[in-house]
Amino acid sequence: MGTRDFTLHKTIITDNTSIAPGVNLTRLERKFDFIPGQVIGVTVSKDIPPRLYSLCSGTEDKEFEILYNVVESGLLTPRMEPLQPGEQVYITEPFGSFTHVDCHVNWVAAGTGIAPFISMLRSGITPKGWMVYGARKSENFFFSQMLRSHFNERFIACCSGDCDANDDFYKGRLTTYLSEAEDLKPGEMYYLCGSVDMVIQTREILMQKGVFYDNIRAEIYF
Amino acid sequence: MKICFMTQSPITENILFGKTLEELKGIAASLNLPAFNARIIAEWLYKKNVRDVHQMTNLSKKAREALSKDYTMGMADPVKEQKSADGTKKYLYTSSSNKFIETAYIPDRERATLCVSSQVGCKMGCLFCMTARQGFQGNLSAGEILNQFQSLPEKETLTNIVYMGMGEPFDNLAEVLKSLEILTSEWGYGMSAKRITVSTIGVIPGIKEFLDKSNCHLAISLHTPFNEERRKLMPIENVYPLDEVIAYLKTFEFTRQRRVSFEYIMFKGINDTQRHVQELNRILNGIKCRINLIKFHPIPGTQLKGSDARTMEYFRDSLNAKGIIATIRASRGEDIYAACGLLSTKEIVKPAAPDF
Repeated sequence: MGTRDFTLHKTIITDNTSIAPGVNLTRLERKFDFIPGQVIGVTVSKDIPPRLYSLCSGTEDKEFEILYNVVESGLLTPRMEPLQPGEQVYITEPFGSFTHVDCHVNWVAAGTGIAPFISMLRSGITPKGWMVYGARKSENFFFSQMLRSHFNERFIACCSGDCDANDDFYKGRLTTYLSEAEDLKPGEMYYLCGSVDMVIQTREILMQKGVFYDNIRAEIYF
Repeated sequence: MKICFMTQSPITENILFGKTLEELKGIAASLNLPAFNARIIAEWLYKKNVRDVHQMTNLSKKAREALSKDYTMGMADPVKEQKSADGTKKYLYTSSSNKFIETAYIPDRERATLCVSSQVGCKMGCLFCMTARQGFQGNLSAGEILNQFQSLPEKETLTNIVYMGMGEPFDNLAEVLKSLEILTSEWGYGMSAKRITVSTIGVIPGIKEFLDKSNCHLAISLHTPFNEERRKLMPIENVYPLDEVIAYLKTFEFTRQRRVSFEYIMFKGINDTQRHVQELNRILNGIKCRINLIKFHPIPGTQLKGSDARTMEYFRDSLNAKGIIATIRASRGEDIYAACGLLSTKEIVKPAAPDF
């Protein structure tokens, strides 16, 4: 394998929408092919190092789509948040290998960590396992309809904070749910995506329940 | 979803310690002081052990008053010290923002090495590392990194500094580079870059910038030459795979003045076989380097086991027979949790509100 090209390429924002307080879904003119689960580097200026975002678009979609938290004290996202369609940003080519393997896989995500899984679903990947999705508030469960329709009763939304009582939530953290779960199968694969705390805690719970580390694949974001 | 490397720097606007000469010039200008004052301040900060602006006696009274009005010095003594049976010491520092920082001092005959932290906790989530269990609390400023050296009781005995404590240095690249500039500049501590090693798990953009902007040695946490195995041990492999790291290193000319080494924690039955020797030999062909074989220090609940001493010796000899310089790093400070992969201040960190 050669050295990867981290060259920044100009692209145009086609849509930039706040989908929850402090969370944006941004669409970009698509420049490259990619594999679901891959990331792109994004920046608004060549002076600011690109940050990596998982694509949540499908491989057949005409645009790139990314989902991100706006970090008020951050260098990049406060500059990305107000950008309008037609404005320019820079991206790298997609890369990364948090990609689907063809076996019985279960997914665990928190907040915007859902992005790579959405990309997989939109690309036609339909895992046979279940999906556990955690967030603090109702509004931070992104793409819930899509997830529910794909997974049906195999979709478990774990709400650790204030959530709409009418919705079908497990009340508590996803780590609590997994600790209590009695049907985790050690021989299956587990894909985790979220903050380092979520990934570490979930990984420990899975290993305590007999899942060998070999069967756990993790993507960490901040 | 954002995967965040090179996270933002901590805010240290009103702290002098940890400022580069250029930053000190900016401060002098902002206070309407002559530009040459910056070099004088740097000398007091980094060559003399003063902790009070008023001790900077060759600055004018006006300059001292202006500085002390807006700035604090920023050095802080360790708040806790533990000593191992083998002489290794672990120090706990606190920062102005109440972060807890662990530092290991490792004396060894005529050498004495300081293992400094660059972050509080870590985001990389390596399966075998105690720091990873802590999660991530924040980046250290250049001053907080350097204070581990400046305020070390054994500072004068030090021969080497390694950035192998808590955190991934290239996830806090700007502050790490600033600290290296201060350590190696003639206006700073004036240390030789050959006495400093920065260790990374392989953040490729960070490696490129580091090699471009610093002359210090580079160490890469390798741990297995096989991508699929490495992905299971180190999530970074998903984003910056080892073969791309190696490919980039092969494009860089390491001279006698500069060294690249590889860290290799040995796990029983996982990465300690002849197949691994063969593959290491293949992928490292063309890179003048050495491999440090490290005993695994088990962390609670781990499924991993360390290779036994005999296997490690055989592995080392097999690598040496292929022309790869390999050594077994002596395990130090294990009884005080100062050994490789054991640093963690989890017990004294207030947990942040989780997002799950």
